[in-house]
Amino acid sequence: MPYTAEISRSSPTAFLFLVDQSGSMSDKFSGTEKSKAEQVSDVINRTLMTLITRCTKSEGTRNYFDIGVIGYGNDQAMNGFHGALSASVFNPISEVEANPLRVEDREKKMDDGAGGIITNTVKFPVWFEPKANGGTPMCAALTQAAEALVAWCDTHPDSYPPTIMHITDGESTDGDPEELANQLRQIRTNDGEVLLFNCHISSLNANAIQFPAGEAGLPDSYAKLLFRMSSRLPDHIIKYAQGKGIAVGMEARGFTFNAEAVELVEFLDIGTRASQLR
Amino acid sequence: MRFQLEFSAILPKDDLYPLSVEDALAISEDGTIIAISDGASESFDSQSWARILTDSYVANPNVNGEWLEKAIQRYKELRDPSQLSWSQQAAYERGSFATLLGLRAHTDGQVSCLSVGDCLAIFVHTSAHHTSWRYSWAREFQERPMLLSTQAGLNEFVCQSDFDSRHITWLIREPLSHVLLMSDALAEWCLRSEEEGIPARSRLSAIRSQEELASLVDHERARRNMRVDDVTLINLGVGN
Repeated sequence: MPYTAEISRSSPTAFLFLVDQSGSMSDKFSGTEKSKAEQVSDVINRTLMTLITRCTKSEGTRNYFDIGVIGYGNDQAMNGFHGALSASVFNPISEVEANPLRVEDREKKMDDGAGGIITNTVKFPVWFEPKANGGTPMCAALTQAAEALVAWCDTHPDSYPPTIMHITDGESTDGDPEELANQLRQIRTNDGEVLLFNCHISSLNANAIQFPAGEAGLPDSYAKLLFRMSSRLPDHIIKYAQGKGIAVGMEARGFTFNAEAVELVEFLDIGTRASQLR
Repeated sequence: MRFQLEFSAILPKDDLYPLSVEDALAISEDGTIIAISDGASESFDSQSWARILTDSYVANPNVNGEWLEKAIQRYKELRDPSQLSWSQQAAYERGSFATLLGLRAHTDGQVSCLSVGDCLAIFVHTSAHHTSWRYSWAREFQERPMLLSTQAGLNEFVCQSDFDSRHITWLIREPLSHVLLMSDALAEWCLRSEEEGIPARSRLSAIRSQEELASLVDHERARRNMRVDDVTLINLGVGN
């Protein structure tokens, strides 16, 4: 049965974030004062922090995951990490933990347990900076991802397969990405094919659609293209999403259209719920 | 009534990391109280939390809100969170989680068994009759187990009036030949095998050495017939 390999330090899995950094990402993100680029980088940094927290024990951070970020815009795809993490696409999560660009103090409003709200300062590590520039070289990003994933799967043949979380707001400017996405999804370990999740943060004034099972209800051809590029959800992810109260059918794909901030966080949380850690 | 320890062992989920075992067991000196706990992998320090829970149960098996508060206090005394790195602080605040299975022989001859989570007790009454607590079927292991947390706010179910009736079973005037206590991976395998007509329970009852248990577990893991997780097994005889 695919997607059942247990994730351990001897047999980690990988998460690769593909992030659109084209010029249109400077537009406002729906429902916030931030740009799409700022909102997406915040959510990715928060997701990285959550992944690290899941792997961190009293003795340190266990390498259950390898993590990569590829940003694309301004006519090129590039490693989204900086400094010590920029030498390769994938880095063990303990290395990611050890090498944030900086750790910010941010204010967080919390329940004081007596009906009031208090503001606490929390640590917020930053690895990935917002950028918005030029065209949308999605094919270049998918090609770079494929090269890294083939190498990763070759060295981890029995691992739970890698998951790609792709966030974009626009149309590819360097060709049709569908065939490349099809090829990407055929890269595999013995436990199954690479999972490709796509999040379309469109500028259309339309309701969000999470994990649809068909393209009929999607509002434009580009959303339909991203839907076709997305993997069918494995059973355990369907179950996890349903447990969060999201209506997800058995044919659902890893695609979300017009996600607002909360849905984007939820999308990345669900997409990064690989099977049990041990 | 008292229990006679015939066998107990904990095997690690990963032989490369034998010190990372997150199961724990404790047995009272007089052999009347026994506890096992399975610490959750996605926890900051479930190894310590599982040990605190089993030690606390053996010291005082009356589990309630106050009991749990004291256990959490013992956990908090282990470290100063302000000295932790940002990632350890975040993981510490998320909490540690573990199951608890506690068996107690009362002076009047009754036996009670508390279970929070998915560790399993099998009571062998006669060669033809056995019962189990708290699960009876392998499919029940697919549900998300209830866990005791170091975050007090996640333990409200312990203070609810139906806690004892939902989590404690009593054996009153029932014959009892022996008892098996085990953590979830072994328990799921055992119930599933029995459902398929394979006499897994009697096989576990006969185990008397760590090598025998390791051989069984390695074989079933290799066949992908048993989930890879820490494995705890206790075999208990019953005497007066």
